[in-house]
Amino acid sequence: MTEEEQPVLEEKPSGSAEVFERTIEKYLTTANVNAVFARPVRQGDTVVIPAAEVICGFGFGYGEASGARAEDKGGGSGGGGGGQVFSRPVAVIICTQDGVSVQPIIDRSKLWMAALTAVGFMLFTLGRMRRPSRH
Amino acid sequence: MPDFSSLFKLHESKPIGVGSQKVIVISKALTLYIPGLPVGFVWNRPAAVRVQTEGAGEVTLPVTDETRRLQILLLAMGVIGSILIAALIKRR
Repeated sequence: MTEEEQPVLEEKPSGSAEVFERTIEKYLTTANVNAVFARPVRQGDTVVIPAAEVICGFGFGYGEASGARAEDKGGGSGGGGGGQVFSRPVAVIICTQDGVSVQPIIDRSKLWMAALTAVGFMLFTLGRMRRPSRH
Repeated sequence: MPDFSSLFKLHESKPIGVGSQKVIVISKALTLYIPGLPVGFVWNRPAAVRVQTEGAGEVTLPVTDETRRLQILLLAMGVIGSILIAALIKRR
């Protein structure tokens, strides 16, 4: 697999900001091809490559402050953040001597949820429309 | 209209040898991150598989997300069904 170019940040702030920037850089590596395609699995003449969708969101905040008065020279900094990475299998690529095929992976539980939502939406509309008007 | 396709970047793997074939997997990534801002979003998904065969040329197979396609279809059916139900009841 490839060694993708990592995002290079021009400014390197100090302290907690630097820690956040480093963490963001780690999150951004999920845009790499290796995050989507797993390591190929060889079994005899067949190679199987699992593929997944990866969604990543993150956010951080930090602040630094010091005493405003001359006698109060104390200072401090603090921060926090959070992120979440979701991954979902999408397909399996099967490579044999005869050729390559892409087999989709269908998540039935997600389809049931979508079907129930659609039916629920229709029943809700039916219920509202059949309710007698108050006017 | 803005061209959102430029937001997506394609990433290719190194060729994987399978017999006389070379397989290159391609992913498509949307990265929303402005340096300096403390928030970001990355959506990375498989896009295609390129198969290079000696003598037979090159073939690109798309990787489709069937679950997502069916989910959208079912939800669209729900919305269209609701509109039809509302229209039929109003007509009575």
